[in-house]
Amino acid sequence: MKRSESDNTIVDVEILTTDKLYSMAELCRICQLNESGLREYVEYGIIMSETTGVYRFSQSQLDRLLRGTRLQRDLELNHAGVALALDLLDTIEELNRNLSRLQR
Amino acid sequence: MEFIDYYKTMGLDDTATSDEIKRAYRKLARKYHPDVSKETDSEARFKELGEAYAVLKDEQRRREYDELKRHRSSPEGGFNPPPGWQYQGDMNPDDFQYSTQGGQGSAEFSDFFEQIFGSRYRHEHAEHSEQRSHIRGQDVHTRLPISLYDAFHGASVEVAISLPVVQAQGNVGIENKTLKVKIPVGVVSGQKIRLRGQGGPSVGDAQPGDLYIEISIKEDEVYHLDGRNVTVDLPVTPWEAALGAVVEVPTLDGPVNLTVPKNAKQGQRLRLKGRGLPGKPPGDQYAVVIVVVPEATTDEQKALYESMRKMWKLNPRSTSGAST
Repeated sequence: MKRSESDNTIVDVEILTTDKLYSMAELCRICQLNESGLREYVEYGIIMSETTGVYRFSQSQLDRLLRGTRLQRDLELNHAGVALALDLLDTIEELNRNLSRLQR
Repeated sequence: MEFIDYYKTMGLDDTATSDEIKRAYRKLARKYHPDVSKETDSEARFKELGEAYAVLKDEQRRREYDELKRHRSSPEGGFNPPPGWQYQGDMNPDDFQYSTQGGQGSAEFSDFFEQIFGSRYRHEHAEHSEQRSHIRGQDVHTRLPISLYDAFHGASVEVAISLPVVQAQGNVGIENKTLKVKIPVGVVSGQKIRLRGQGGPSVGDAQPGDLYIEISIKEDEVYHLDGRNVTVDLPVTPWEAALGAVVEVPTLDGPVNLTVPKNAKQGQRLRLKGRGLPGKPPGDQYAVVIVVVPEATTDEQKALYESMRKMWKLNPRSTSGAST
């Protein structure tokens, strides 16, 4: 019997809402950091907790942290360098968005 | 198998010093890092670079590679290592940790690299990863570019991922897999979706990891996307703009008729409510009026423009102070 195409399609996908918050432990596991490593990222203002007291991080902060840890390892950056690189990349992205809107 | 010239990958001469190698790596790593570069092939370039540097930065590895390079069968043809070839040097798995979009620090290598250094690398990596009996599979993160059309209609899209796999002998290998994923209707750029249990396999009884996919919607030639709103150009003639008209506009759901208001202006944005990407609330579509000025080629056309000139006596530059 010929298998129809949809047989091997994964339909069980979950849309991650942007309002999910991650705990420190979850962030550590996803980014393969220990707690003190993660705290350093917070202290350098690379990522920010949505809440005071117990840390809770948004999806965008997770993305930022993943990007930051990759840059840190691959380009041998220190925390201040990572913070600067990410800020500059954000600025460039925003400028490019404005530029492409204006060019239309 | 292709012989890979690692010196060429890094843009270096065979005689480069270790300082030059380091400098070249740092410079190229900044340029091609997938988190920095906008080039579409940056990920592949960065992978090649990481592999080249892993070999050239280590004196012994470089020596053995140079040796092989001298003995390569033919400059143009394929490459086979000499019979009995066995890489003798040390392999420190940390040397091979660099990022791919597919995961955090799980490197993949070319067949060429695997053949020369691979068995030794895997052996050492296995010792490095210790003997733990129940380990949750790794979460794998990847990015998936989809077309605007697929984002609007939903679609089954193939996703190629590389999963870190622990094999029977405790070796860590990379398994390349293609999954067909149903993209939910109305995803937007930057949206993440999770596929539970489709990440790295576990060891023992632990849970497999999850696969996270970040959707990025590719630039479209017709539609410009901003969040859930789409914008299209709407070219109109001067008489359509002045007198008003009903014109056909493409939407993601097929063409619709749109009323251009009388005396529409260049750059005016006409809104088609709810015609953007689906969602709660759905996005809108904007049609931007672009007035196309007809060329005057025949005498009759030139005369018509001439009479318009007399009729309007318009100076559109008067606001900038020009008198003519």
